[in-house]
Amino acid sequence: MRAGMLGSERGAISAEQVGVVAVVAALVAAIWVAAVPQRVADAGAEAADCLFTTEACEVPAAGDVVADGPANDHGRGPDRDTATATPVGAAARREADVDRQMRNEARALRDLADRELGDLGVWDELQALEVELGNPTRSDERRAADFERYEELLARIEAAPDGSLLGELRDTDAARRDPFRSHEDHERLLEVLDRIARAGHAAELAELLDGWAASDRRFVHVEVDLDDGTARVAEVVRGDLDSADHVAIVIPGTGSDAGNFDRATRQNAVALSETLHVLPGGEGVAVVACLCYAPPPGLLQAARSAHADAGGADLARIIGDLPVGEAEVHALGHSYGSTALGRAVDREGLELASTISLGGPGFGSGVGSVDDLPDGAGRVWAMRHDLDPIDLAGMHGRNPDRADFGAYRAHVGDGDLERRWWKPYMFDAHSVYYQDPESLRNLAFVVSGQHELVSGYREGRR
Amino acid sequence: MRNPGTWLLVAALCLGACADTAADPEGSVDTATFDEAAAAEDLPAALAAGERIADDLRASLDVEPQAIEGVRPYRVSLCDEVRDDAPSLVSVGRGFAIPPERIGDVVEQVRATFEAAGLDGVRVVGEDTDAPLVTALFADDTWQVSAMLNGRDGIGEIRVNSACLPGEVPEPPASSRP
Repeated sequence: MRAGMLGSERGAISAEQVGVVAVVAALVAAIWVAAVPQRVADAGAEAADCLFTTEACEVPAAGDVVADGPANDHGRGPDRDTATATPVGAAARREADVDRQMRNEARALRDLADRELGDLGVWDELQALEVELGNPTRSDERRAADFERYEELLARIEAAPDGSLLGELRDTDAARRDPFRSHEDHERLLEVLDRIARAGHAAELAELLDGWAASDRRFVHVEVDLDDGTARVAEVVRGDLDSADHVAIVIPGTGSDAGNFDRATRQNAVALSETLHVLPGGEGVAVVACLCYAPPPGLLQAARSAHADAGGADLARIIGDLPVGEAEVHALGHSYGSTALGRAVDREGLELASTISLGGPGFGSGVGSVDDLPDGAGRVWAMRHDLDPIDLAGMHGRNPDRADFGAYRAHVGDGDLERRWWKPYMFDAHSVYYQDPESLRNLAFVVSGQHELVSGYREGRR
Repeated sequence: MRNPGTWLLVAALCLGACADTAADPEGSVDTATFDEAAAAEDLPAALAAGERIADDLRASLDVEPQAIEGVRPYRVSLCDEVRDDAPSLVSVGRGFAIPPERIGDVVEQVRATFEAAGLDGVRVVGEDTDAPLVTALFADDTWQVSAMLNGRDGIGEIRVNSACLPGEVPEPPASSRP
């Protein structure tokens, strides 16, 4: 009995020990499992560890096979341990590269924002202390502490290197206090204010890029200009670039930027994409939302060609570098986007199957007809709603929807425009191209190589 | 019934009934939904009204509801990309299946339904193709409703575009609902 009881006690103790060990093991396992994806992410971001091979940072060649298992923390990468082999093309590899690049760009933007906003914080604190030090109601102790801090901040500002935001704030302080300073001083002051605005924008853009990188969306290009805070972004919203027969590139116009990319450029690409799902013959078409240049922020800047000149080079470089294989590329430039697109084709050698102007003011100065565009423009299309006031613009070459321009043309429906006889133009007509079903139907037929099915078809010379 | 006047009355009643039948085709819809849409003052109200119109219209047609892969139940787009505070429109889509040989019948049915509902600017685009589109406007031409058909694959879509309105609606689900 005694022996039996002891045996039972020993058994009970053993069970407790086993239980404790099991719980500890489960905890360790849980922590390890949770840590693995983070380590993979860190490796991807920090050491540019290749997502597709076990070799660090070695990009597989075209046609290589890679693991195709459950998604990793990027939402689309493979799990090597549970792999089945599937071929990976250039587009899939590009997406993985761009994911990493997006995180790097976000980090650089955050560094920039932290540095600049930190400098601004020092400056603002000094200004606030200057006011406080003149407050006679403060205690001597508090005044002494404030003065000590003031001296400390002043020393930091004096020591700030030339070119830093703090240094610029210091060096333009006199201009800020004196309205009669020279024009150069005020120009410099304006540049400082612009730099502060860009720092705030950089923080917002970093957050945006982090969100995109963490999503399962398929970006195939990203780059950020740290000097002016603009971003160039290309996202595949439909289809597979590796196997598509046709690729539609949706290029936005005035007012588009990374901040409204999701609500504007991407939505337009999605509208075209969804129309392609409904219409016959749309299966082999991939659609890319392409904020691949820096559009003018407002109508004032849109009257000039500087954004188109720089944008044409950007579009040619980025679109020309997309991993589209043998697909026919159809680029749709909306509004000012068509001017930048015209520049890309006309001056930068971008080669397309179709160059499409949607409510465009022109393909650039010097382009008076399709005959002025090189063969690389492919078939040239011009669609404009008859109420679109872009008809009045004349600063970027001849309006391509004019009959004698020689472009192919198709109808644009009214969308939900409230047409009235006393309104010769309506600003809303400028945004109807990706909203009206007839317009979307025609765009879908053009980018799927079925242009003979468009409504209101007018044959062009090219 | 020897009185000619009685015969005339009966004939008139018959003609009236026939006329009523002609004006009330099989695919009639509840026009109250169009009035409801016209009264929408923000995007959430427009989305709700647009969904009712699309569902009601699809139910009135002789088609089989079917989700179309890659098409979400609605999408939202800015009415003016230049303005940060620009209003948006919501575009509601509803898919359906249809035997390809019945495409012409459905086009006629949609057109008759739109006309019976008193919509403006009813027209058919690409009637001779296998991708006809029927469109119409309502609420002082600020809303648009359309039916796009695909005779090759035996599918189609009702789409309702709202007026440009302020407000926001949540991200739509990934795919269309049947």
